Amino acid sequence: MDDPTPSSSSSAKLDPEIYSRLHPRAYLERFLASSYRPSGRTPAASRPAQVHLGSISTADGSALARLGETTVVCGVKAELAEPDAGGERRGWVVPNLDLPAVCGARFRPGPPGEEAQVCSERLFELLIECKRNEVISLEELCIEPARAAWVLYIDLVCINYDGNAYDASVLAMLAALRNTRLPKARWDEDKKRVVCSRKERVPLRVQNLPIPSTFGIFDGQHLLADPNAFEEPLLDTLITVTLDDRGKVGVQLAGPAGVSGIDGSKVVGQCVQAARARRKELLRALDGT
Amino acid sequence: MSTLQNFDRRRITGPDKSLPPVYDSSPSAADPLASPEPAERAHRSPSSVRPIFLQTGLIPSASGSTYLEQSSQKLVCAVYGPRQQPKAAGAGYSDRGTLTVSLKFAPFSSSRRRAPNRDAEDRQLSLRVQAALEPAVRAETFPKAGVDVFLHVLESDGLDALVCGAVLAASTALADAGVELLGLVVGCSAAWVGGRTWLDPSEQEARGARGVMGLTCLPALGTVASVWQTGELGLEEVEQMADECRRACDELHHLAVKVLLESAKKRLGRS
Repeated sequence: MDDPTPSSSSSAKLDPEIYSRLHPRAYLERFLASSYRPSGRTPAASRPAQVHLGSISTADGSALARLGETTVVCGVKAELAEPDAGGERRGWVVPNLDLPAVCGARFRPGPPGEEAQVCSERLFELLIECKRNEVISLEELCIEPARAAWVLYIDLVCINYDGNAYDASVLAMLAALRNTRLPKARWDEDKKRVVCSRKERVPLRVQNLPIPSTFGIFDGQHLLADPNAFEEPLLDTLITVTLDDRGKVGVQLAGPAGVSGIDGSKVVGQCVQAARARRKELLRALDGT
Repeated sequence: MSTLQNFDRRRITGPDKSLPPVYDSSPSAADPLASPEPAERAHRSPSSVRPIFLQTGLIPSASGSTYLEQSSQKLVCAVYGPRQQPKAAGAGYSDRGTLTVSLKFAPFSSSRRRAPNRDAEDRQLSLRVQAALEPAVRAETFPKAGVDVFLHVLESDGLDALVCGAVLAASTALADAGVELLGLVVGCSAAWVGGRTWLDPSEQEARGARGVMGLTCLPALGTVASVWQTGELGLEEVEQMADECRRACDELHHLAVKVLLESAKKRLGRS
């Protein structure tokens, strides 16, 4: 057998856990040579997804989503604000992901790091991107034009980080939004403020479910679905394919897309195919509870 | 100053100012807040603690971790270390390790949204938890290194009860991480309502009480780790409350021991 690293002459005696830490690339290569990943998955296999709804009573809507070990809790809290001059008939959606120090050894307390910032930005884009088929209609969040509108604070907390936080976050976010019940609100012209009904609550209308599937390319040779925290830092390329209710496709790609011999565009086609099947699975997870 | 606070490049920000909804009717009669000192406690007896669910090993990448759920109080605790600490300016060599506790609220964890970065409460609560844990941790066993205890609150109902829950979760997680302890620290809070002690008060109950106290102790050694008290209480009243807290702590200690024993058995079975 070929020695992938100079030190592997002694690797026979090395504990696999220590070996995976010292030579993560070689470790992953060896697994992939026999078409498996260290987690026991095949390269094309995604982790099972689970969604639990409404466990947090202090939020107007909440959900917990798990992709394998990665666990994200999402809570939606609604507040009221005066619409901006530019969008008098629109409310707000404010998604923020927190990767706190509890969720993994490499996260430190303090303001959100780069990864959390990028992820929050992507969640925001996902919510407002499709102008005609937004996830939440911002117009419907308006209570009285130029006077009052709902602000949906969508806060996500990762409590266990094992890679692919974005896919898990979207799942948690969509589930929490579908779980959200807003108090029935009306504008009181005399008091010049919004009055909410204590008893009546209306479900928030979620009109589109864009679902992402993330893939990674390792060493320009292997396409790995739903990478975990061990694989993530070793990947050259990340591809996220987002499919919505109308079958519309959004692709985000960072890095070179070729996979040994296959053309870059074909790789993306392959991912879209796989994402279609994955979307069905994730929709089942969203509905399953 | 407010414009500076709102200008946060690291987060998605909404409007400059937003307020929680205002409801039409005043709180209904069923609301315990309506009468300041209700005679009867709703749903449970005065000397009962809300049922606790405690689980270890939730976060595999941490040295030790726990998840605690106590009706509408939910928190996650992770312990990392002993590990190397970033060099603090001016800190010399010490043959004792450091213990840092940091407690954080998720923005959706309270009835009013907690905007990130504008919260001084979590710092104060972190210190209370740290004060309770410090007498138990054998810091001399990890010189120069540090143990980090991170607590993340997903849902809270009563801050005094939260500190006690956090202490229980943290000391169980420390034991799960294999950090040497003199004993497990557990805590119980109590409120003085209508001439009686109500253990483990919820937020509303604590607000309606004449005084509130909390006590953390090491039942294995029979020593008290920390005590705090607020409100208008006589010395005998405090003494009576403390006694009841101590009794409840013994039960909590049994629970934590049982959870740790089970997780240790599971771990032995696996290897």
